[in-house]
Formats: sequence, C-alpha cells, structure tokens
Amino acid sequence: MTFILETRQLCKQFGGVHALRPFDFKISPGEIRALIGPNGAGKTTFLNLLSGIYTPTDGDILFKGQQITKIKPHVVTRLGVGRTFQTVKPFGKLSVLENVMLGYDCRAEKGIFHILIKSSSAKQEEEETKEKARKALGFVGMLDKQNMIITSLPYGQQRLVDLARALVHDPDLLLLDEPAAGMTRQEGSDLVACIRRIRDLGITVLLVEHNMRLVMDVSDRITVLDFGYLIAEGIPEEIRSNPKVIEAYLGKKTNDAIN
Amino acid sequence: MGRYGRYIPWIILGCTILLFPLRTSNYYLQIACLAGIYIILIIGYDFILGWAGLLSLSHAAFYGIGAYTSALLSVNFSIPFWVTLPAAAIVAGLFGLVVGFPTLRLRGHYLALGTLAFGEIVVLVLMRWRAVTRGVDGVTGIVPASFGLFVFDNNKSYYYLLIFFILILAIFARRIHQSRFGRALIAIRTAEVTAEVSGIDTNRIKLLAFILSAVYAGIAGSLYAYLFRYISPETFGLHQSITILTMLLIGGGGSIGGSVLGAILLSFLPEWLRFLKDYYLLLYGVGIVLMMAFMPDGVIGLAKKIISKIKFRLPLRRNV
Amino acid sequence: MQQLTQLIVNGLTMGCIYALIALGFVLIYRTVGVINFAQGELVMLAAYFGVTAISIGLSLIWAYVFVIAAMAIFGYLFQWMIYYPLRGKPFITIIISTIGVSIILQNLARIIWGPAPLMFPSFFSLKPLNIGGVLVQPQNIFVFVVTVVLFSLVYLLLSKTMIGHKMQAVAQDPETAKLMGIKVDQVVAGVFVLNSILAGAAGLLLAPIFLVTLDMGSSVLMKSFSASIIGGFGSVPGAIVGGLFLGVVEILGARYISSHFKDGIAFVVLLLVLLIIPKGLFGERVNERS
Repeated sequence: MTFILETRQLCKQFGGVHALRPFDFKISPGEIRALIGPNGAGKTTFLNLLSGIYTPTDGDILFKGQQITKIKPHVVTRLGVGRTFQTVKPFGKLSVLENVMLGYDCRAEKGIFHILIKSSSAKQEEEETKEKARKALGFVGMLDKQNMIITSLPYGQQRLVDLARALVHDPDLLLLDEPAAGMTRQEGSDLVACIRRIRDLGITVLLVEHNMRLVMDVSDRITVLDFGYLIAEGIPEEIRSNPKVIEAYLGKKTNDAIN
Repeated sequence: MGRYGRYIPWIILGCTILLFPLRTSNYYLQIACLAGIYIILIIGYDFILGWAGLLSLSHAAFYGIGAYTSALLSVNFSIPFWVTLPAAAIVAGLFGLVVGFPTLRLRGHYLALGTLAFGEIVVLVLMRWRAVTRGVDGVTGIVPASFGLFVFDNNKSYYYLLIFFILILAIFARRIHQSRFGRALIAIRTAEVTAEVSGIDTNRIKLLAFILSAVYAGIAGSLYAYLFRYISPETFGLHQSITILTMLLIGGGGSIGGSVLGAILLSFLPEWLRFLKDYYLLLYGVGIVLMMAFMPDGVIGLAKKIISKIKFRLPLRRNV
Repeated sequence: MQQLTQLIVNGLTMGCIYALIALGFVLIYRTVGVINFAQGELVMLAAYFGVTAISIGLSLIWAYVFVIAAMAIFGYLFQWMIYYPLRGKPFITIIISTIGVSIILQNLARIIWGPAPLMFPSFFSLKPLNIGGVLVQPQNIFVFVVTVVLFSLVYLLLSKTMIGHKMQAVAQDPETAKLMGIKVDQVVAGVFVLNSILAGAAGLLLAPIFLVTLDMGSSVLMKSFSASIIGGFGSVPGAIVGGLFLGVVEILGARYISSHFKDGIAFVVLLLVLLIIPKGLFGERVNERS
C-alpha cells in the first residue's frame, strides 16, 4: 500500500513552544480523513507545515513519495496540494470568478510578452483558465455568482468560493481548514455532499474541523491530536468510543457532543 | 443619446488633448510635455505601489538611469533615439532586478529603506563620477529624436510623440492589469499567504512588478532627456521620488485614470499656486498628510466612492 | 597607527549620533510598527530651537533644557496630530504621512529661520585635547558621554521600570496589552515623546560639530536608517552597534577608499547587509505569522 501523504517524525517548535510533537501520519489515496483535537492541539500548524507555510523544526513530509519538506508553498501547490483557510481572506477587489481563476494561474505558461502583445495563445490560455474556474464554481454550486464582487457575498458562500479556488488546479490532495466554520446547518450538509463528490473525483481530502457531526458523517478515518501529541486514530466508530479521546478531547463536556 | 452616446465625453476629451498645443503658450506646452512624462512614470510606479502594495522610494533613480543611459549614448556615440530609448528601458530594468531581488524577499519596510539607499547611491554616482556622468554640470548636446526625416525638436511635435508613447504604455499596462499578473498582484496585496498557497510565486511576481516599474521609469527618463536635451543629477533625487509618490496618491493608486489625473494635477498645480512662493512646499507637505488621513484612495478613489453611493443597492459587479 | 586611532575616534563620534537617532526610531518601530521619516527633521528642529534659545539670551545650559522640553512637547503633539488619527491604518499610509510631516517641518524651518546656515555654540573650546598622542575634540568626548548616558537610561527604562515593561508588552502584542489593562495610547504617546527627546539630543550634539542647516537632519537620518538595518532592524543593541560600526566604516572608507563617495558608503553597506545577512547583526524579532 502506498500513501499519498506521509510524515515522519514531523515536528514544529515556536521559540520553546512545541506546537507539534514528532508526528507520524499517513493517508491513503481516495480517503477522507479528519484531523481533530481541542484548540491549540497543533492541527492548523500541521496543515501549515504540509502546505509549506511553516518550515518544520525536524522531520520529513513525503507527498506521492516525494520529499516536500522544505519546499515553498507555491511549489507544493503546483505539485498537487490544494488548501483552504480557516478564516477566508478573499481577494476583495476581484470578482468571484477571478478569485477562482487565480488558483489556476499557476498552470499558465504564457509569459508577459504574450500578454503585452495579446497573442492568441495567451488569450486562449485566459479562456481556458476562465473555463476551468467556471467548472470549479459549478462544482461547488456558485456559478450563478461568478460576476459578483466576492466581499459582497455572505461568509458561507465566500468559503465555497475559496474551496473552488483550492480545487481548480486539480489537486491530488485537498487540505481543508475548518471548512464548515461560519456555515449554516444547511450549508454544512451541502458541504458534506460536496466533500464526498470531491473524493469521487479521486481527490484525497484531509480536513481539520470542529463540527463533530460533520466529521463523524463525512470521514473515513479520524486522527486525534492533543497538545501536539497523537492520541488516537481510527474509523469514526472507534474514535467515538475511545475513552482517551473522550477524556482528552472532550474534557469535561458530556458525551452528547460527539453523538 | 444613441448607442454611441457613451463615447461622446471620450471624443471631446481626445479632441481637447489633440488640439491643446494649438491654443497654448510654449511654456504651458512644455509643462504639458513634462506632465506626459510624469504620466508614464506614475503608471509604472503604480505597478509597485498601487498594485503590489509595496513602498519603493527609488523610482526617480530608475528615471535618472534611463535619462543618463539615453543621454550618454546619444552624446558620446551619436546613437539615435530609437535605439537609446529601448536601451534606457533595458538598463533601468536590469537595475530593477538587482535592487529588487535582495529587498523584495524581506518585509515591506526593508524595501522602503533599501530603495531609499539605492536612490541615494545613484544620485551620488551621477554627481561624483564626473568622468562618465559629467557630474553636477549635467549632460548637454543630446541629439533630438527623429523619425525618418522628421525631427522632434520643438515642444509641439514632442507633445504628439509623447501621446504616442503614453498610449502604447497605458495599453500595455492595462493588459498586464487585466491578466493573471494583475490578479496575482491584487492577491499579493490583499492576502499574501493565501496567494502563495494558491500557487502564485509571490516573490517572482513582486520582482516582475518592480522590474516593470523600473522599465517604465527608464522609458520616461529617456523621454525626459530628449525633451529638454539637457539633464543633471538633482532632477533624480529623493524629492523627485516623493513627487512621484504624491502624484500617484493624489490621483489614486491601482488605476491608470488615477495615474494620469495625479500626474497632470501635480504638474500644473505649482504653476497655479506660484503666488504662494515658499509656502507652496509647506502646503504640499500638509496636503500629503491630509490626503493620507482623509482620502487615501486619491481623487479617483473618492470619485468611485461617490459613484457607488449614487448607484447604491445596484449589485456590485466587475467584468472580466 | 595614531592616525588610524584618530580616525576611529572621529568615526565613533558620528556613530554615536547615528545610534541615538536609530534608537529613537527603533523604539517607535517596535511599539507601533512604523518607520518615522520625520525623524531627521526632529533633529533639525532641535538644533533650530537651540539657536533660538541662545538668541533670546538663554545660557547654553538653559538652552539645552529649553530644547529638550520643547522636543518633548513636540513629540507629544506629533503623535497626537499625525500618528493617532492614522493608527491601525496600513504601515505605508503612516510612513507616507511622516514623509509629509518631514516636508512640512523643513519648509516651516525655512520660513522661520531662513535658508542660511546658523551657528550653535559648544560648551567646550575648539582646542583639541591630547590623549596619548590622539587629538580629541572635547565636543567628541561630550557626544560619547551623552550617548552612553542616554542609552543606559533607555536600557534601564525598558528593563527595570513599569513603564518600560508596558512598552515591551505593547510592542509585543498591543491587543493583549490592552486586555491586560495597559493604556496603549498613553504608552505609544510616551514612546513618541522619548523618541523626540532622543532626536533632540542628537540635534544638540550635532549642531556645534556642523552648522545648523535645513538638511542636517535628513542626511543623518539616512545614515541612521542604514545603521539600524545593519544592526538588525528593531533591535536596541543593534541600533548602537550598527551606528558605531557605520560611523567608523564611513570615516575609514572616506580616508582609504574615496572621500568623494563618503556619503554613499553607508548605503552600499546597507545594500550589502540586505543581500548577505538580511536580518542584520542582531536580527529582528520576527514572529512567524500565518
């Protein structure tokens, strides 16, 4: 069995603070994996390490068997990793369509001179980018909003646009950082369906999420982090009944939240 | 108004610009030519300040590098305008690469200070390296630009030559603004990390914007040298960079309209306010401070705000 | 050897001035994240205030007191009128505003004091002291002593007093500082006042060495920018090390490389530092931010 993503003893310190303890993580192609844990458990740090925003203090990251440990974010993206953010920072002056097109621009090849002379190949490339972006917007159900200024959309819809941006360049692995945050219940369940459809495209999904209903509903396997340590990993049923998880993750809260 | 009605204001504006030299004094025509050169400078500077959101304080240095490249090639080797102009663009662009590469990787204020230092070095070299630059005396005897047998040796003909260059460079700038480079620049300015994770090589795009702005400044410098056929170092100091900065701020960054407006306004303003004498520069400083506090998006930004207030409740749209 | 020592002593004197100015804007940068381009004009203004104080008949010592008091008030007004209305705006907006202020101050000074250079007396005679064969101007020693005293005071203020701790807290995280009950605005105002006093001291020290001119501030400001980046932007020890280093390198460069390009040395060193060790000698305390 080969893994699409594997980390070996990956860890990160800020000053003296261990944001992530040495962490071995593996995810198989086509899987939907949730990464959960209380605030400060190191989940977002882990995603930031994977997408190259942080450089790890130690350890390795292998993507499709290839070392991506010290590679810059834009290169990681080009290799086939998509990423959304916990708080969306949309490009306010751009339309919804342009926000998504931006995600495909890394596939463009025609340089500045083609653009200056408006060469037909540059125009064709722009059209192709537009087409790709429309397809991605259609996929998340936002095609009808393509010409809107993004900041005029409600927050939940901005998140969907962000998702389309992360999907448009056909990644093999998609990292979702709390995709359901700020979404209504209805939007949340639409999102679950959307994530399943993403998997059906053959894209592996790794999501960090606080909404337990969504996590239990959508994931194939769940990994639990606490204070930078891995404390459990397994299918949702196992996690649900794992006493360590209930104790560490839920703390004093009741079991209800998880069910 | 028929279907062509919306073109009427533009046609009137175009005619005014084209007929302006026929109805004005030579002195005002020269200011108009200088304003035209500023338009090119500001459109170039807008790539870096308005689009990439980075503060560079050496735009005048690239302007000077362009001017001296053209002037020295013309005076020393009698090379014609149509060769020295691209040479000025290339040399300025290369300097842009050399300065931008180390500073753009760092956070914003390093660029401000690094470019400041570069600007000072350039002026110092222009003043002190007499053997090559002829020092504070400046360079004279630049052969006028010509096209075939036609020589651009007066302000009137030069005015039209400038319009030609402004049009071309504005069109190029617009194409870049509307391309993936423009998108990338907006993205970098609003959320750099998101831009990078979207696959944009932010350092490369910033460097490209910086080089482009240097190239525009180089062209403007060359055109300046051929306008006055005399150049001297003090034109290209920090105060000039600040003038450029102020022009863009007054017009409004991020749009060609803003660049044009700012360049024209601030070129003619000193003439209209000549009676203020020493107090003009004081007012100029006060103006900068007030602009920053009350209309950071410039005249164009203010106009857009007013228009969008009028059109309130209409859906916000942006055509690609 | 003796000549070299002589040069180094002179270089250190200028280095002290650079360091004082650099210290001021390092403090401002750390607290509010902004570079103050009007810093040079504060130096100039202090020198002109000094000239005025002497001309109305104050003795030199009272002139010093007058200038420092005036600069403290000016620093407060500066932050109240310029920084405070813009706080929270992008740093470019604020930087440009300070550029505007520097233009205002320079031209205001031109209108008030005229364009001609003015004289400002020193406490000491121009007769150099012979210390072990090295001739030292008494004013140079004075500069050195004042700088050491001011740096020590600032160091004590930052590390030993409550106000200093509050400044540190605001510098690290204004939001949290506010939650902890620190009056951020007051601390910021305090830093601006302190900065203005430091610039004022630099102006008073500089004035007798050179003449009092409209551009005396802007030329040393550029050098101080370089000094602070060489030392490591945002670092207090960096400000003094960078300042002294630059003062010495500059004078040695002028002597042994080219006096023509003396004013360019600082900038070449700056660009080299950016190229080779961008974080400077003492490094900026940068938090990795997402």
